[in-house]
Amino acid sequence: MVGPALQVAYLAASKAIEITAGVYIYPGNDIGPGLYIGHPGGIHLNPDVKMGANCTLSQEVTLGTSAGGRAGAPVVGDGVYLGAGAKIIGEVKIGNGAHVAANSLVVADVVEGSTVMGVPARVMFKPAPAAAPSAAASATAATNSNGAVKSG
Amino acid sequence: MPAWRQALTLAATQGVWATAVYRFGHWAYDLPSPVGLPLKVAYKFLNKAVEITTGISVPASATIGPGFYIGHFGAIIVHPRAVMGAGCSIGQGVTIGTQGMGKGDVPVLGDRVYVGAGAKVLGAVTVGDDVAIGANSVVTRDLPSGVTAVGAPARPVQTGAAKLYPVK
Repeated sequence: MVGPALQVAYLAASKAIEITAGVYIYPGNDIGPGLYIGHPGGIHLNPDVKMGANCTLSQEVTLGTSAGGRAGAPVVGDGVYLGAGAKIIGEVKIGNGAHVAANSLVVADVVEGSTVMGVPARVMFKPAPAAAPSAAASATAATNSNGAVKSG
Repeated sequence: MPAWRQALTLAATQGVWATAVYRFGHWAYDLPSPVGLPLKVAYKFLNKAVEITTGISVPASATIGPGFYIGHFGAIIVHPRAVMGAGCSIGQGVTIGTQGMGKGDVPVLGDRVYVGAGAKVLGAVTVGDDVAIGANSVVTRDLPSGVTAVGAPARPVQTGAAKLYPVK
């Protein structure tokens, strides 16, 4: 008897969040610590989306599935920045420390540490080749979380 | 998921609210004045409630075929004179409207058109049947039937893919 009551309570609470904040995140989403949502409104996550630690979600960001057989949900690494209005569609992987520019449409994997932009998104900046990938990723993640705190 | 929870989830879906109020309003606006007036007033309040709670604006005067599907919610704007065929599906953040700057023409969409999240279809645009418009695309030119179009401005990138999408 407790289960259904809690489910109804959850539904009411999630609707209240959807209506007041415009943020649509499922309980099934696997999201790491340090998630930062700078501004509310129009944020939609597919139930199967996975996100790493210290990610930033901006307003109007969608992570989901779509038309044309693009089934499957995105998997987002650590310290990823998703700019306002970015749409990540289908079974794509966003590497650690990647930046997705505002209003981009990502339908292909994004390499660790790179910056992508456009509809559909293309690589604008590649990661520095000298730095070790793991070090670069954690450094970017740190920058991201710091930047988030400052801008908030 | 048990049946009662499926029913509750469906009834709590913002897209269902918006579609139901649009269908009610579209029906009420064709009724003669003495009968229709209170229904039209009721529609105005319902429509405003839907706009405020869901961010979905689908005016009663728009022409939309059966099987219209709004999966999510937020910043969905359809022009009062827009025309959409049967089985169309629009995502969150979609605008179907004019180009502004004094140009008042609105799009005409065919059957089974999928408009991805954040896409904008603007101006005197005719979109064919079985078309998929990618997320964040901006459509300002006609699209033939059976294509998938992506980009700002949108260009056809492949044919035949739109039918794969199971329109509900």
